[in-house]
Amino acid sequence: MQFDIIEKGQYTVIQVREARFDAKLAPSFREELEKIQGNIRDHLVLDLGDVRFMDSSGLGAVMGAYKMLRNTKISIVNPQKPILDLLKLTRIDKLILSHPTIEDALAPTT
Amino acid sequence: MSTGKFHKQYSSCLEASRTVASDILPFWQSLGLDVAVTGQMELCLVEIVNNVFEHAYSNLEGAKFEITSYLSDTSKLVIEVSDYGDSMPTHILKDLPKMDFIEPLAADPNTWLQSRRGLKIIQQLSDKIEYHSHKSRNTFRLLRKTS
Repeated sequence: MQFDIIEKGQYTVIQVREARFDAKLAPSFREELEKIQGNIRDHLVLDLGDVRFMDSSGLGAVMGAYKMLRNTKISIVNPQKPILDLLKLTRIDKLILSHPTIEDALAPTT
Repeated sequence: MSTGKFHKQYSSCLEASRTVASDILPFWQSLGLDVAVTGQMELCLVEIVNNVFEHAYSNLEGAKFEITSYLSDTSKLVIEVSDYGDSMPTHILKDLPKMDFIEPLAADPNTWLQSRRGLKIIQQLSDKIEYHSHKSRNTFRLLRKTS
């Protein structure tokens, strides 16, 4: 199983169960997202805790999710350092915020 | 610590970057390189290999490309990726330093790019990049200081 989907309250969590979020995985991620698109709640949480490597195709897939789910808040949780560094380098961290845990992502912003 | 050279030929496909990464990481580790450096160079190499498949070979599977890597002057990691497909236009690398990542803005869907970040990532994480075409062979050469 490449992805686990958890729907709870007002949020949906996609846990990426792969070490590499790359050109090989990106099309499967898009397909999975299209399948569940109609059921995604107000807030989509991408749990990248298992992902040790991400490339520009993985970033493209995340941006594709943002584009597909225009009115849905998207957060990344539990990213490893190389993923955080890549999000920062490419400035995607300005649009899609990262949090250490799901609870942090769901906490109301002050 | 190894002082040798990594050289291997591959066939183009979507998974090739994974195979290349899995082959070359133990070699870089044997050179005693810092894990932060090898992580960034793995990303650069994957981006180059994906570009070879997507652009040089237009997603054609089974086309040949080669990877060479070694330490130069004991403190510079060299990575060379050679293919026999379509060459990259020369202005692309020349214009790269002048460009920056486009910051995605919630209010501007034109900034929600899903591609066109790979080469800029390579340029940002490398100390020097070069690209040469000679007799139908294209070589992308990347240099990164290791200390």
